[in-house]
Amino acid sequence: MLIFSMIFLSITILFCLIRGITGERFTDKILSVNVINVKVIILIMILGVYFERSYLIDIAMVYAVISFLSVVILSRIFLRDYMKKNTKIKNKGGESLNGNN
Amino acid sequence: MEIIRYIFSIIFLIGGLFVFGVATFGLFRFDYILNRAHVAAKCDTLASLLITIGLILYSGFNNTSLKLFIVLVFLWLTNPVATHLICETEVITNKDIDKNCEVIK
Repeated sequence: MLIFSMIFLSITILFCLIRGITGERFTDKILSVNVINVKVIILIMILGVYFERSYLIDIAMVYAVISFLSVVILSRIFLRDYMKKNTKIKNKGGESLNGNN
Repeated sequence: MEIIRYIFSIIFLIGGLFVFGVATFGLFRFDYILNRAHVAAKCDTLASLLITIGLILYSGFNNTSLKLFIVLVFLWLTNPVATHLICETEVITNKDIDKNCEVIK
């Protein structure tokens, strides 16, 4: 049963990868990265129970931390760039902003 | 007693795999990005809950099941935050969002 669930999860990971490649907007790609990360965490957990090695679940915990960090940083970086571009268009002089800083 | 535990663990595992399959299907089927984000959030929380319960029942109650529970708590804390950040980015940066769905600002 564990082997069947691991194979099934791998197939769904492949489909999520295809969806992320063919997605038209960048949020599609970030979303599919998030789903793939969750599936890989679950896959490592099932692997740890199957091999009866307890340290694999510690690895899953570290993977969860890194995946959360990657998604947050990707979305924040894009949002910050977008806001910077928009404020540049809105007040083209930009003297007062620089003066205050 | 052992057989009953295995049967329940297999039932929970099959439920979790069903939710994962439906989420992957929904990522292809839905038209708008916020619908897809909804489906992905379901995949994050419900499927991880079901599969973790199945694995805890499969491995018995020992150190491994405690670690599995800690991973589940961490996933439940972080994944809704990540999905919310993605949706916030989408709503702010997409100028044609009013065409697809009604957004309250």
